Amino acid sequence: MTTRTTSQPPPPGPKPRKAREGAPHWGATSLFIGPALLALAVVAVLPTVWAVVSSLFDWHFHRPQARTFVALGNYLRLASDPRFLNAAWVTTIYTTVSVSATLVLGTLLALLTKAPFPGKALVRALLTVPMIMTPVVSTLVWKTFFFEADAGLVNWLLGLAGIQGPAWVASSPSALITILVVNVWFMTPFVYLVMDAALEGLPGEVIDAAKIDGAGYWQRVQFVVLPMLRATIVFTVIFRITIDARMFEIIHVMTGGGPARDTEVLTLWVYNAALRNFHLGYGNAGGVVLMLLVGSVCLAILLVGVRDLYQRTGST
Amino acid sequence: MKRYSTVRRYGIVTLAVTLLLAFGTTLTVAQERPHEGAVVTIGDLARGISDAYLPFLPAFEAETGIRVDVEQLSFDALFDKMMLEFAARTGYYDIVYLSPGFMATLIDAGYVITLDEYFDDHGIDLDQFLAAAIDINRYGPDDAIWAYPYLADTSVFLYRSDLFEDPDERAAFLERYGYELPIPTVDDPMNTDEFLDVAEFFTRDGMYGFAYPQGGTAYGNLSILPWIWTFGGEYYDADFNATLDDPRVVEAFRFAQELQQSQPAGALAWDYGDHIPMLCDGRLAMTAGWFHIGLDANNPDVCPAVAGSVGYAPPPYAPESGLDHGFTVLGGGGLAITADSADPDAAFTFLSWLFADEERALEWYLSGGAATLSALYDAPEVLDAWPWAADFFPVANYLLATTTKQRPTVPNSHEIFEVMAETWHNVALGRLTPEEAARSAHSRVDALLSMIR
Repeated sequence: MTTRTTSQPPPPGPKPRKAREGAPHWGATSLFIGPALLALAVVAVLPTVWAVVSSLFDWHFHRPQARTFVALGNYLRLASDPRFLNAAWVTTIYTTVSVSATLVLGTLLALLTKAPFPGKALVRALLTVPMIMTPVVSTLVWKTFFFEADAGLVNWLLGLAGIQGPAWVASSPSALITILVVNVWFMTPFVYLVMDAALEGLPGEVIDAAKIDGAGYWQRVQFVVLPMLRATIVFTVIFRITIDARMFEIIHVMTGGGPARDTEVLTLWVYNAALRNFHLGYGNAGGVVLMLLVGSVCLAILLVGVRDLYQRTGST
Repeated sequence: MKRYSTVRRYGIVTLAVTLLLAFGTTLTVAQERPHEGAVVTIGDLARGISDAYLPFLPAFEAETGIRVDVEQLSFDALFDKMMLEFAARTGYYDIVYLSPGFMATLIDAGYVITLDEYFDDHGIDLDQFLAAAIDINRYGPDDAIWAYPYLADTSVFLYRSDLFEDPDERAAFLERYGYELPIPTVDDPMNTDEFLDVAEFFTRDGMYGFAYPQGGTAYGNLSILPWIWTFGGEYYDADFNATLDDPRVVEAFRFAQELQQSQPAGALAWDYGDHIPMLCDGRLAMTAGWFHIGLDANNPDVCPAVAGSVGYAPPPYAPESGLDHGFTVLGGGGLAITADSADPDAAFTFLSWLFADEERALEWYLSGGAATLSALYDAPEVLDAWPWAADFFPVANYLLATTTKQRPTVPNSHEIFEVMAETWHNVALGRLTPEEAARSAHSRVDALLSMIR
């Protein structure tokens, strides 16, 4: 009689696989990120591919069946289209000024509200109010209540000071200024929140050490705080560029791109070309150029910012 | 056995009669309700005249068995959505609002159908409609009708009669300009020189002589087009060659530029209705607006500060044009039936049921709709409901019959309007002289027209 005990070796056969520590679990990973990737492909990748493909055709929205392959013809046409070039220029100015202004203001507000003071929570909450408002509604309020030429608050205040205010949204360069003001007002809270969170995460001992070494407030900000915020700043700038270069609703509501195309940015140009004038292929070519421009600028900032960051931290 | 046969015979006869009755009734119902179960989807602008027909839908469904669904959207949202539906050939909409600015594009693309045959088949007498309400929906060499009459509109000129009749104002005007302050009427409209003088005269602290919306593509174009017509110009000729490099067009730009001096600078960015607050506040001596704005100006519930003091006038005329009247743009639009509609006859049945029936059309009009039937336009019931409108209708009738013109309608109209709006804005901002504007607009519009010649 043979008996089997638990001490006996297991029967011959394939050895059970031992999960290696740190090895990817492809099955579980696919299950978790698969739906997200699929959604991304449907809502982002496919439309982008479609936009690129359609930009190679002379294709009109009101005659979708009749399309002619023109290769890079639409892109060559863009290069000599004064309206498109103007829109690219306006977009550049708008994005540069808006990103810079929100970055400076948001960072300053975060620095100013870093130290504890009575009512800090309330101030923080109030500073984020613009961000939670609907852009179209708040833009209409700005347009009619603040920037209306005859009955607006801004010109009324200027009038008290004996200054004749301009017709803000009907003249230049005030129309561009108004959309910048509204966008800065709208987007500064986002920068403030990011910078505020980043400041909270900074190691206090480093700042204290600088203080003990005799560094003044602005010296500490310039030489200690801002360098430590570099990664956050790079992220914020990239994020803000992608938002502002694609800005549509504020400008559409505030000026509609006018007067005389002075505030027509590339998104409005694409909208008008593709959906109002029905040049779908041509409009999409403009959209692809916008995407490439924004992508290139962001990549350049990322490369420069990250490289510099690695050099500073000694990483390779 | 005989009894059984009799019973059977009676039974068969009864059954046959019952079947015949049932079949006959079904036939009758089918004839009366040929579209039973059909669903008609309308894409319309979100505004008063579409709100006003919503209450009629249950009665129409009860009577015909056709359910009508209405989507009310802003102009941009409706236009974008319907173009996507059209391009994808979904047949989602059976009826869409047809704006004259895009009419040719949709017709050219084959997205909407002509309604002439439907009017004939349904026995709808076209003469019962205001001519302008039909004309705005006509297009093509055979003047086919592409949409059901829904809204016929144009700009009526409004002036503050209390100011114009004020003895002190009249004396001051006479002293400054050397002639009597003209009170414009249908028989004796102001000319363009007088119009500029009057606008200038009333421009003073807290008041502007004239103002109307000029912002964006739509109103930028609408603010220069009628002046070009008034001075005898046109955008293009019958062969689709641009005709803008023309002294009459230069004069129109010059006139508009001069008139701009009497307007609030912000008007250059005003959109639809943005001048109403100033009008109702009493800060405009003259303005121009669509019919409902003209009606509202004297409605004490809407504009209490100026109600009863607003006169109606035709546009000024330019003596150098050789014409005795100016021009206004025919506005409004129609309800078109889409080419992909599953049941276009059901769609037409709804339109006729509501808009060609005097009783319903009157009820629709009085509850915020529009008048497209001639009989209703200034019917006694309307005057009873809106006593302040008595002076409005004679002028409105004159405008629709005499001064209105269909805006230039070609498949790429919108691009032409963009050019004209931009050119006018550049003139108003002082970047282009009237001569430069005419030349620039001419070459750009001609390039666009070359695509369709």
